[in-house]
Amino acid sequence: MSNLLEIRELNITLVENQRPIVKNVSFNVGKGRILGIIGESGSGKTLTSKAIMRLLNEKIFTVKGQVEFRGNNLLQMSEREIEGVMGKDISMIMQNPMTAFDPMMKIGKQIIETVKAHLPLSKKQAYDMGVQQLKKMNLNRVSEIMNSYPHTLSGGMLQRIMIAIALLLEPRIIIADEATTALDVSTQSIILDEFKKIQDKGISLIVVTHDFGVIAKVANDVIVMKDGEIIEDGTVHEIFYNPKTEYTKELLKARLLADEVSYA
Amino acid sequence: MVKEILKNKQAVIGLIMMFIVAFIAVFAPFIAVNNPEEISPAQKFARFSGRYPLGADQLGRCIFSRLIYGARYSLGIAIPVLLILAVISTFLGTVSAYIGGRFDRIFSIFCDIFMAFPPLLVVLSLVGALGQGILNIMIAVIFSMWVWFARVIRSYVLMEKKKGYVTASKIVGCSDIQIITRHIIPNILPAFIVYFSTGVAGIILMISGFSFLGLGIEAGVPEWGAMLSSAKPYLYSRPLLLIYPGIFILFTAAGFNLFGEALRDIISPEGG
Amino acid sequence: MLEVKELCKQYTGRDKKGRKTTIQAVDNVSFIVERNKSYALVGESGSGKSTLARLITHIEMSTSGQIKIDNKDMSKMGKRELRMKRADFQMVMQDGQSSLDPRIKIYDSIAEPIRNFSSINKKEEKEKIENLTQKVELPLEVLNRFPHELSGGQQKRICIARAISVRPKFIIFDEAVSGLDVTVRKKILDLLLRLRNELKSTYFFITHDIDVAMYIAKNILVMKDGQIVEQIENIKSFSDFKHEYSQMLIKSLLPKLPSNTQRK
Repeated sequence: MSNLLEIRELNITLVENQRPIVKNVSFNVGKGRILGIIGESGSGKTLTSKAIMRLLNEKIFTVKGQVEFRGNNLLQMSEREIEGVMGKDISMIMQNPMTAFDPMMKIGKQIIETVKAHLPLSKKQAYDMGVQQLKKMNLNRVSEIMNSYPHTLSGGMLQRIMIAIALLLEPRIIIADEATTALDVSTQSIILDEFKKIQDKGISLIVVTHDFGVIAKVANDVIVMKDGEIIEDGTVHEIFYNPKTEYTKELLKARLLADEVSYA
Repeated sequence: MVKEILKNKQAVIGLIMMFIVAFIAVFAPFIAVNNPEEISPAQKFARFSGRYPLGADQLGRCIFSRLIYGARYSLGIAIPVLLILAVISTFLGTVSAYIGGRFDRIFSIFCDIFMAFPPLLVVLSLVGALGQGILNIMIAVIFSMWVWFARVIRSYVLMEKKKGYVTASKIVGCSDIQIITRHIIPNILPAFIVYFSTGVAGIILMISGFSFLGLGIEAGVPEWGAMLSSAKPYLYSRPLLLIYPGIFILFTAAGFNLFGEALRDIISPEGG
Repeated sequence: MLEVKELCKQYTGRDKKGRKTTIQAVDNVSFIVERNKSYALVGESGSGKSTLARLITHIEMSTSGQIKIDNKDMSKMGKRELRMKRADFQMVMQDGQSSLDPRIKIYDSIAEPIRNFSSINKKEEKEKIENLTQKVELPLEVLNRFPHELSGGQQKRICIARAISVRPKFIIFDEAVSGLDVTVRKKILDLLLRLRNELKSTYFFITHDIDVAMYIAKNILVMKDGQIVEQIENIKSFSDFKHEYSQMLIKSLLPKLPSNTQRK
């Protein structure tokens, strides 16, 4: 199995008091696989994913370690080099889609600008690409959406638009940080199905979540985080059928599902 | 909160400045070397001396003593005005926002109408109608300013009213009066203090401005604005006569402003 | 005990072009809540379930329809009578932190309903509050703290202590466990189940989560676009849901275990 992303000895400390928040985290993301990172609040899962994207404020967090992507250590790249990689090769889908969009700009324009920043295309080509991608996301009345401001759309729609934008540039990895947490179950289901379709194209995903249901539905590999450390990792079957740590067992038990339910 | 204020340089500087002015106002009789109203024509435009630390003005009055007593007028007018403003505007703003609905809409329209007249215009016409006098200028300032303060309080209460704990208090059986006095007012108090401490500066400037224009305060009273006004003819020959009261006004207003602004930063660090 | 009859709530607003629009948040809802049974109302965002909670507790007034408590019409009650009636009707809201006044210590927050609804002396009050704190499984130290010094789960427990302090006949939980970590959520739900046996209160649980609904209640109402589309008594399994919307919700639920295709 070839690894697309290798994280080695990632450590994040607070600049203010040197307190470690993420400790010695190492894992790999295989090509075309979905890695689930599960943990509760304060486990460091979101910080880990943000550190990979170089999204942490250096004045607040010190990040040490290696994030190997195609032979380069992302943590040591210059700002300019990083800009070339982010969005193009690695995309992120955030928990709150509302904050990911510029509230004063129409969706269409935002899509065109994102595409044009990375690909040598005309405005018209970029627009058409956007329309096509939105249609693939199960969205109706696409031209109307392209012409709306973010606040007029629902959270579920925005989330799907964000995924569409992430996909437009055909990245190699998409990091989804609690991307479906705030959504209704029906929308969540659509988006998770979309993740699987993304995977079928050979794109890897890192799905950060607190919900073992999300993991059960999409992940191939799992790491369980607690208090900034990886306490258990393995394939999804190992984690579900043969959890080793008490904490993982407790997390699994905290699910409320009635037993007799069968799922398609 | 007290700790945070002491940590903030700007707040400490403002606080010290406020304290100095307050000290001067309270102990004016002990600091002043002469009777501020005593006229001695022989000493007209006297230079600095042991008897007149900052010299004497066009009527031979001790400038230093007048400036010291001026602090009494500035604070003595601004603070009572502010307290009355606080009571009136808190009551009206809170009641309007809390009751809400049609009542609040009518109150807002009423405020808008009031705010359409510049405060200066209101004061001018009121002083014109009521006549000169410190009490009248106070009434005029309150009358022209309450609506601005009430609007701010109203918006604070509207914001607070939406919060979960207000609903929660209703559910645990608090009456409206309990909710207002025990929950809403304590929670808007910090923002309220900030607004009013910056408001003091505005009122001090306003009152000095009016007395500079000869409104409200009788000629001869050692009020800083009035001193500026009476020194006008000597702008070129004796500029210091204007500069001294100017510095005092600036110092006092700056003290309250610095403190108020620093307090705002402390209370809302995200800079809202 | 509680009878809701043809309840409607409309909001009027203005659309982009300034035309008046009405939104039917609660649309002709009728149901009966009997003593000593447990109810759950399931709905997605925008279904009107929170509005319904606010109508039942009389935080908001209905546009039309009736709410009867013990055969007495709520809209015909006087202000004072209604306030006293609240002792029987408590609500726990979604956000624990915002439901507690940030400037009031926990002790006084819990004391508030006790002081409002009963007249007991300081010593009895203290005993009662300490007793309640133990009941919700919190150490007595928390009483001396402010809300922001507690964790989300602790805040929630305080809200529960506050609600049960007056031994209400009826408690509405409006999304009371959403937003909590799964392990915390499980503990709080189990606490509520234990408390119910002791208090003999009727729970009315509003949630977007069918899992939570089935875990805590036997009688389930499904709400969509302001209407109750399905009402099931004594639910046994997911197959009791008949309405297509409910079935869609169930189909969207996340699986309990990973599917075999993920095994690699």
